[in-house]
This record gives sequence, structure tokens and C-alpha cells, in this order.
Amino acid sequence: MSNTAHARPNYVAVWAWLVFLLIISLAAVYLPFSQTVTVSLIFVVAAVKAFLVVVNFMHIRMEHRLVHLIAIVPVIFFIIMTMALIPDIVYNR
Amino acid sequence: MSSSAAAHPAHENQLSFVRQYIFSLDHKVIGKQYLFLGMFMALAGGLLAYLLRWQLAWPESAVPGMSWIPEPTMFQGIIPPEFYNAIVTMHGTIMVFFVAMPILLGAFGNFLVPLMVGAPDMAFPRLNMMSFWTIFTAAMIMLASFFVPGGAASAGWTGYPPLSADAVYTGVNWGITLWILGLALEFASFLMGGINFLTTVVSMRAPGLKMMRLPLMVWMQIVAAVIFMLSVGPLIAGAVLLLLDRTVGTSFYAVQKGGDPLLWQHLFWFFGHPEVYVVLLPGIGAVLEVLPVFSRKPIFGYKAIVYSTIAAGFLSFIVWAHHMFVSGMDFDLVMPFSITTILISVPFTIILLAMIATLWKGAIRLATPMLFALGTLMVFIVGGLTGIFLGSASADIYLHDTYFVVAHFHYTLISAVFFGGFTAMYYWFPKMFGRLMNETWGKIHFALTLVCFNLVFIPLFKAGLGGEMRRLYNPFEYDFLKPHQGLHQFATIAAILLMIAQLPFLVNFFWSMFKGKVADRNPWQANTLEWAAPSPPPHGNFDTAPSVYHGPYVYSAPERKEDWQPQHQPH
Amino acid sequence: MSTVAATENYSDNVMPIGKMGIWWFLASEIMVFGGLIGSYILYRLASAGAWAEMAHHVSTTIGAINTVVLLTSSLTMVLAHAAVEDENRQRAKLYLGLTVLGGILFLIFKAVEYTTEISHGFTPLAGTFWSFYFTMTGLHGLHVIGGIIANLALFVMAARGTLWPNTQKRVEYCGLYWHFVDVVWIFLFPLLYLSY
Repeated sequence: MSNTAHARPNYVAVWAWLVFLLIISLAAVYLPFSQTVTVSLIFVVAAVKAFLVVVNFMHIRMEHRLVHLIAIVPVIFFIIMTMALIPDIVYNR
Repeated sequence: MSSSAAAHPAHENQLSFVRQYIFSLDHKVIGKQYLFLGMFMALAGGLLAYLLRWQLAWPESAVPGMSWIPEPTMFQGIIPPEFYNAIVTMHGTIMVFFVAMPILLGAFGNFLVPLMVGAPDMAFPRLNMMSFWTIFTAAMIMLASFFVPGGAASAGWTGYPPLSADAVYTGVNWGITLWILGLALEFASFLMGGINFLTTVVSMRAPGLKMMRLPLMVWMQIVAAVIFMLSVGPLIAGAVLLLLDRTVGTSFYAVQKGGDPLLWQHLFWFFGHPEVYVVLLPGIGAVLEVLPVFSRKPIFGYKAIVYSTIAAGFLSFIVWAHHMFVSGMDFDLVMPFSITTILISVPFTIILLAMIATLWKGAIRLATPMLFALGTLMVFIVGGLTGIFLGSASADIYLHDTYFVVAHFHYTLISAVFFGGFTAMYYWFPKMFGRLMNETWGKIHFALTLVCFNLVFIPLFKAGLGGEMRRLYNPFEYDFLKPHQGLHQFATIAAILLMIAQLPFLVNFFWSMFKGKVADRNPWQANTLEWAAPSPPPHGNFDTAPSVYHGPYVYSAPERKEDWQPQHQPH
Repeated sequence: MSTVAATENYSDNVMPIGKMGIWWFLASEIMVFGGLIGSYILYRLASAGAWAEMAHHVSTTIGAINTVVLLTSSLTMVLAHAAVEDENRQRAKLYLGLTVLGGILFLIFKAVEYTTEISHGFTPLAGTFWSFYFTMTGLHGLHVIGGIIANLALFVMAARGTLWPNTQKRVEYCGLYWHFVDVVWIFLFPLLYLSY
């Protein structure tokens, strides 16, 4: 396929970044940050890690934009659903 | 398998009977398998409807012809309360998941999508076969659940916990577990089917077939497939939690141990409302195919219909809580969901207006498919308009869970499944079986069905407005409901007539399959690609791979001698 | 699957049908895990204090090691894909084998973890947090098992040489699935192991 024509990401470097980010999120837990900082930090790190995997390992950037839609639309619906349920499940028990 | 795409009619003869008709890879055979499964399950669902209608008209009296059902399910034809709960639950489950979906998506989707996009078969023929045998297994599990100790599921087709979470409340243990398993397999089956439809349409269209030249039936099928695929996931997750609550003893939905039964309702309706459109859209699609052909006019507002469908599909994801206005959910959610619910009527109004405008000044031929298409339109308008009352929270608080709701959703779902399904059946029968159905009997079937259907459900609107709740075993134990017995007896007689009115169809269907007039390729003078293939199409579909030069609805073009312009002919 | 090859010329489109199918499959999987993760987040927000107490008892160490294991097997998977593209059959075989080993290692660690927890009385019935913990990691584990089986099949085909000449694209499709399982774990790890 034409994929070979694209410049391949340095997979090992991406892996090193992923492990580094894992260490950051572990550090965030063990260092004396406030709870808000810790929680936001670990989930931002998780999102960045997921982004790195999807972009570099799953090669989503080289795909047709339909694939981008297929990947993003479910995430949007997931967020809508979870947000809409917050008043009900979280505050109203 | 390797040559399934190679369009050799002779190849068919080399396959054994089992490979050709039972474990077939041919999308048309699989479509027919879905059709027969759906028709068989419709008999089961219809039998349950007969039982529950009888109980509502003449409570606790012996149901005629049903004394053969052994104890403890029934007592000499008398329905005990536990079995009544199972009847209403399984009637809903079977009709939605094992009749509507197999027929509209499974049968017609499978049969038509590859033909309409000019492909030799589905993208993944083996996955297609697997999806049929998965739903077949699911259907058998559902039917088998009637015979386990305790009987079939009886927590309502929505399966709300705590009723569904613990056998203490219903006395049904195995039945509900099997019900969850059957549903899970059904979902898996339609996920496989949906992946197949979407991939086929995206990647296997004939040369020249742009997305905006797709027949509307294909658009409806793929929007339905996307909606299903994106909405069913949370319910699968929810069903896993429910199953664990039942079998392992976890407490996801048990309030006393920190769970929350409302979560199930949210997850269920996050799927349940889009599911309505999954079932509805293919029925609308069949009508949209039939209207231009039988009024010899281009469809009015093709693009508007496509965009409205996509908009309706998106909106269907953010309306679900209107099923839960009285569930005790947070009041701040009520108003937004009321607004989105009323909003969703806008795209559907556009679609309905486009349908009516297509008829305007057309040269209308009232053949049976056209009659059923017009019937769908009429019935769906009633269903849609009554939905507006239920969408606004203030009215819904009074009407919730009354027979008004029952009548409303039968008007919407029966318009799509029953009338839409028969539209598709009469219209594509020549392509499926190579013979035409008898027109006279078709018209008789239509007239009886339309009249009887309305006679069944109009009284139920009145009963609901009178405050009668659904799912009551014997409503007439309440003094204020005693005057409703006449309404129910009327509806029950009409329902029995409606079932008898299906006999002409069944006879016509099987007689025409073998003895009907032989159909040529294009008996209705229609444009779409399926009519370019032989009737019935062989394995591999087309003699030569078609190319597409026009949109699907070029009718009565002034520069042409004929009043139709097939998509695959350049001029 | 030479049906694929025979029908490709019908399409005026952009990608092989196998890849298209896998992406649609992943979309539905996002919603399945999304429903589960969403429910977990909501319950967690609703009862923060009691759950944080329970969440203290999971082994962050094993969770972190398992994250590294899964990330590494994702790396070997993508290297296997690269080797397939380069027609380097020996390396493809090696990396597929390593990916399978990574998956098995993950399951072994997971089993150790489950055993420790259950022997300390933290069964799925020990509270809603534990119910969620076992459901989510269990469902993820089932996906890992599925990925191991698929990768093992590819490894056997690569070892026998039957992966070539026309089925090597399966490595890419299987890889997409395997990376997705990895992404799910990337989110499960902070949700279950870190946020107390």
C-alpha cells in the first residue's frame, strides 16, 4: 500500500515517550499535589498517551477522513451521555 | 468462497444443498432466511398479542383455542397474572428485536444494499452468514425461555431493575437470564450486520455511484446501521452489569447496596430511543423508493431528505430521557430533553412533506405497494402527531405508561414495520422470488389491514386519555376503569380481525412464490440498480458489473421516450 | 479472502474493506467500553469518599508494570506491521511472537493481581468499586485474550509462510484492534489504579 511512502514515525521513540508519561502520572500520584491537580494531571496524561498511540501506532493521520469521523463521533456521544447523566446519577441520589 | 464474487450462475449448481440454502454466503439467500425467521417470530409475537388482547377484553376467562397450553403456564385457557407479565414482556421483545429488525434490516437490508449499490455481494459474506445464525440462536433462546422453570422474562420489555435484577420480585429466574443472553446475541448479530452494510456501501459502490446518487433506501439503511452501532454499546455494558447483578450477586442496580436503578433506565433508553429510528428508517426508506416509481415523478427534495435523516439520526441520541419523565430523574434534565424531543419532529416533518410533495401532480398508479406506502404515510402521521403530546413533559406526566403511549408507539412502529414492511414485500417480491404477487388479493389485504389496524388502536387512545395504565393484569378491578371494558372488547375483536386479515397475504405470498406470474427484470419500470439484475438475481448478482450515470429518481424526463431512466443506462 | 481482491475494483473508494470493517468495529467497541467507563465515572463521583478507601487496595505497582507490558506489546505489534510492509518475513514472525508473549505476560500479571486481591477478601462482591474493577478489567482481559488468539494465528501463519502473498494485511487489521485494547487500558489504569 501507499503507506510505505509516508515517513514512518520512530516507533521506539514513541514507546519511550509513552513510558515516560506513565512515570509522570505515577509521580503525580506520589508527589504531594492537591487532589484536583493530581486527577487532572493523570487524565490529561492518559489522553496524551491515547493520542500518541492512535496517531503513531494506528496511523490515523494517513487515513481517509471518514476514519477520523468513525473514531471521533463515538467519543463525542460517550461524552454527551456521561455529561447528561451527571445531574441524575451523581447529585440526585 | 473464493469465487463468490465471480458471478458464475453455473457455480451455483456445484454447491451442495446445505451450502446453497442453509449456510449460504449469498446475501440474497441470507436475506430470505432473515425474512422467514422474522415471519416465524411474528407468528409467535402475534399469538402473544392474541392472548393479551383477550385477557384485556374478557379478563380471567378461558382464551378460545388455548386450552392446550399446559399448567402452570395457563389453566384450561385462563391466563394467570405471572404469565400475563411474561406475555407483555415477550410480545414487546419479540416484535421489536426479532420481527422488526430481522425483516426491515436483516431481510430487506441484506437483500437490497448490495444490489442497490451494484456490488456482487456483501463486503464480508462469511460475517453475514454468521450474523444470521447468531440471531437465529438468539431467537431460539428467546423461545426456549418459555419452557424453563418459572417461565419467560416478565420484567417488561425494558427490563427495569429491580424487577429484572432479582428473582424475588417476579418469580422468574432463568427466564430473565436467558432474555439478557438472547438480547446480547441479537445485538452482536446486528453489530456484525451493520459493519457489513456500512463497509459495503462505503467501499463497494459501482463506478459512478456517488453518495448523492444512492437510493434513499440505502441511505436509510446505513443511517440506521450507524445509529444502532453507536447506541447499542452502552446497553451492552448495562446488560453485562445486569447479568452480573443476577448471576454473581453484585449490586450495580441495587439501591440498598449503593447501586442506582436509574442508570439502567438511562443506558436502556440511550439505546432504546435510537432503536426506534433503527426500525423506522428502513420502513420510511421503502416508502421513499415506492412513491416516485408509482407517481412517475422524481423524488421531491432528495438532498433535504438525506440531510434530514442524518439530522434525525443525530438528534435521536439526545432525546432518550423523554421516556423517563416520571422516573424520578433530575428535574433539570426534563426541559432540555423535552426541547430536543420536539425538535426531532422537524426533520421528520421535512421527510413527510417531501413524500407528499412527490405525489403532487404525479401520474399515480395505485398498485399494492403504492397503497401500502400511502398507508404507511397516513399511519405514521398519526403516530408522529401523538408523539408530540408525549414529548412535552407536562402532558407526558399524565399520559406516561397509559394506553395512550401504547397506541402511540404502535402507530409509529406498525407504520414502519407492518405497513412499511408490506410496502417493501409487495414491491421487491418480484426481485426476490422472480414472480409477481396477486394484485387483487394484495389490495384486499391492504384494505382489511388498514381498517382493522385503526379499529384496534383508536380505542386505546381513548382508554389512555381516560387514565388507564398499561400492563395491568385486570384493569377492571378498578371502578373508574370499568367503563373501558367496551373499548377493550372492541379493540380485541378488531385485533382478531386484523390477524385474520393477514391470511390473504400469507396465501398470496406462498402461492405467488411458486405459481405467480413470472416477472421480468423490471416489472415496475423503476430506475435503481437492483432492477438491472435478473429476477431473481443469481449468485453474484449482475450479468455485467453496472456503472452508474444518473441519480436514482429520474422519472418523466421530457427528452426521453420512456418515462423512466435506469441508473445504469447512459442515455 | 480473495473475495476482497476480486471486488476491490468495484469500489471508487479509498481503503481496503478489511480496514473499513475493523474501524466500524472499533467504533462500536468504543461505545461498549464508553458505557462501562461512563457508569464507573458517574458512580465514582457520586460516592467519592467510600470508594477512595477501597481503591487504595489495588496494586498500583502491578498495574504500572502491566501498563508497560501492554505498551511494549503495542510497540512490537506496530514493528511487526512495519516488517510486513518491508517484506521482512523473519522480523515479522519475531515481532508477532513477542506481541503474543506480551499479551500472555499481561494476563499472568493480571492473574497474580486477581489472586492477591481475592485472597485478601476483595471479591467482586466486596463493594461497588470492586464490582466495577472486576467487570472492567475482566472485559478488557477478554479482549486481550481475543487479541492473543488472533495474533497467535497470525504468528503461526507467519511461521508456516502462509501469511504471504495475499493475507499479510491482516497484521495491520489485527494491530488496529490490539492498539485499541492498549488505548482502553491507558484509560483504565488511571481510572482504577491512580485516582484515589
